[in-house]
Amino acid sequence: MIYLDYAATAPLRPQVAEMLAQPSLRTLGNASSLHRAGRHARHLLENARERCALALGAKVEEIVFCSGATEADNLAIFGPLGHPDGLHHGLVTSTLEHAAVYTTARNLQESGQSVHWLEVTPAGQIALESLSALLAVQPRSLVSVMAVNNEVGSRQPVEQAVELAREGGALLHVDAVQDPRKARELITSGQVDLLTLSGHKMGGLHGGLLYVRQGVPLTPQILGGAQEDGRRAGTSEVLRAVSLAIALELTLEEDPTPVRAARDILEERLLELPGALRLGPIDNSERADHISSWLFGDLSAEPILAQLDLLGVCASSGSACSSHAIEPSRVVSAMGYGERAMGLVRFSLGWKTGDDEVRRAADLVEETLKKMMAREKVKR
Amino acid sequence: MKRVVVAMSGGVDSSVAAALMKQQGYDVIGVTMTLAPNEGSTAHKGRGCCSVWDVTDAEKVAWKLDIPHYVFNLRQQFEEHVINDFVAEYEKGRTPNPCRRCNQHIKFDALLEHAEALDAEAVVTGHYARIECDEAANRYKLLRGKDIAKDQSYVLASLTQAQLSKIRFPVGFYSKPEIRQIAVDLELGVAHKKESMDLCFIPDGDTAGFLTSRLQTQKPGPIKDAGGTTIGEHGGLGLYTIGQRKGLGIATGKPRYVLELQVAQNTLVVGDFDELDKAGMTVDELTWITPEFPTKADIQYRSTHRGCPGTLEGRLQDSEITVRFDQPQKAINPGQAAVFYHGDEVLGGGTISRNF
Repeated sequence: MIYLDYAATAPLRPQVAEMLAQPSLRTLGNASSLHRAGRHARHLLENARERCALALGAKVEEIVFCSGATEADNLAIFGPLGHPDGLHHGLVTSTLEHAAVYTTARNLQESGQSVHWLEVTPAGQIALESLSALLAVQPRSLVSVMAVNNEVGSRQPVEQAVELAREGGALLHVDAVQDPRKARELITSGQVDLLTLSGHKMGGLHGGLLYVRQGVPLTPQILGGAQEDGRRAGTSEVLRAVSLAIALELTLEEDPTPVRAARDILEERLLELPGALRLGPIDNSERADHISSWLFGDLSAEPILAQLDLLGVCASSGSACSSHAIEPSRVVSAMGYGERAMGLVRFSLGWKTGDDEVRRAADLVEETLKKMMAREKVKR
Repeated sequence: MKRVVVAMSGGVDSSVAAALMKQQGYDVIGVTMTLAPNEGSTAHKGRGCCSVWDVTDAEKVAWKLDIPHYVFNLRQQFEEHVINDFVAEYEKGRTPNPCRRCNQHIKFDALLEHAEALDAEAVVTGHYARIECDEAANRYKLLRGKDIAKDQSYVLASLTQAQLSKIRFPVGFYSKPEIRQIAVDLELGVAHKKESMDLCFIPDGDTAGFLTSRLQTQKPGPIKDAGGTTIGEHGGLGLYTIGQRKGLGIATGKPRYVLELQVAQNTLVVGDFDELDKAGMTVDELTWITPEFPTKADIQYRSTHRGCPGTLEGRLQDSEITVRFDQPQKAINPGQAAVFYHGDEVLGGGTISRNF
């Protein structure tokens, strides 16, 4: 199997698997309990928090562990906007965001709150002019911008967004699930108020982290016990947190060059295919190293991905609905490709991807597409 | 190994179809097509067809059979070709058969395209019908399923020779109880799953409610008897079907049936049971599986009907033909399919355009 779907879930890191296999975990208690089994759990949880804080340049009390990045995104949006201090009103975001933010924003809008949508460029980036225009009208908004778009890999102009947000006193949330390095940069330099990370995108278990800068008002969205300093109720998910810390450290230590090189090998080959169009910014500095997204003529992604799977290549399309059918990509539509939004094919690379793997994958993609294009029948 | 694509709805029939092909040594790929609009969770109102839970059932069966499984999204095509047509037909005072239209315009074309893309030699579904190859004539025949009570050849009559050559209906050679038994023997979780009776895009079975929300031009009008006397008011012609007795809202002391929907006059004509009798009908949108025009055939004009003898007037190349029943028939609904049989064999079919 050639796995090229890291942007969906990265393979579990061996270091995480080793941690999970430790015999001492079999007697782990509840991190809220007073006895030794509970203390053990609490030690692991708080140690994980410390490691995450250290890796990101944050304070320990700024790290909130959640069930996943979706929950973290929800908390980042509903948390400040619903706070009784009423300091921040309205959300500014874009259709490029992951469903965790996008659907939350739609929900806010439908419930009558003010939500403003940023304009989107054909390269899959937010238009900064529209951000400054919106912030001029509503300076104390919550701005939610992702670091790297998960479907096409475009980097968002987060630094510039920070500056614009700061001027009028807006809060800035960054979903950095696809770019933990940027997360460290933004947090270390104190540029961001809220930031989301996901464990399983880095090779950990499925679990999320929300960075909340000290002083940012936050209303809990899940009510119950007083875990996570009253910001997220529910029994602490110790093993998720530990796995996230391990995966985050490994990710930040890694040299990004091999992934970039493997991506370049893949892209060089795919560019030769007739009708192949790589999506996202042309300039490599404006896109993530690990995501390579394509449209292949008018072909729909479904049969391409099925055929690739039969040949042992795991790739994916944009988003899927609840029945796992591919839906037209909202992101690709927003970029102006309209009808062709069913054609998005995404390859994403990561810690285990090797050059030989992508060469073999390129062979199989080429074989599949040449056959399909020759047929020209299977269309949307 | 020869590869086939099996359309798996998550029901027992298509699940067993996949199992049978696997047993016969094929390289089987399972495919679920999502057709009905995606309207969020349906868990609270029971499962509709194409719901997440049906896809999950199909995935479970595929996992058990150790075959790959993919979900293909055909919602847009389904909305355009089937749902819009369904509503438009009611607007015209006709009674459509959306399953037939889906089979004719979407399901098999899409499946065959996907099969080709996946290098499969044939498409398999869980329909109760049989396909036979007449090797001497180099032609394919479509036959009623072995289980006559379950036979679905009526909604498959539009299949062409080219399509039939690449389709397999393994379930058609078994009875429903036999199929259930195979599912039990193979420990497929769907063995005792309830039959889906409703239209897949109206999972709660409330066709009238669905139409009311979709029909544009519905307005109340008179209900008249065959003599032209107004005896009541209807709520919009789209809600009525020829032969319908219930829900007319008129009390005349004896049962009244819908005889005719006069769209131009927005008038519903009702009458006695005997007045439903029709001597014949015209049929258009014809497709033929047989190479010769049949002058005599058994004619099935409704999915639950099992055919009556009659005479066909016309030629294979005609766009419309006339059918005369040997005995008068009741409730001939324009919009429904008319399918012509010799015994179990489907000769061809079309859409009822008029009755007389």
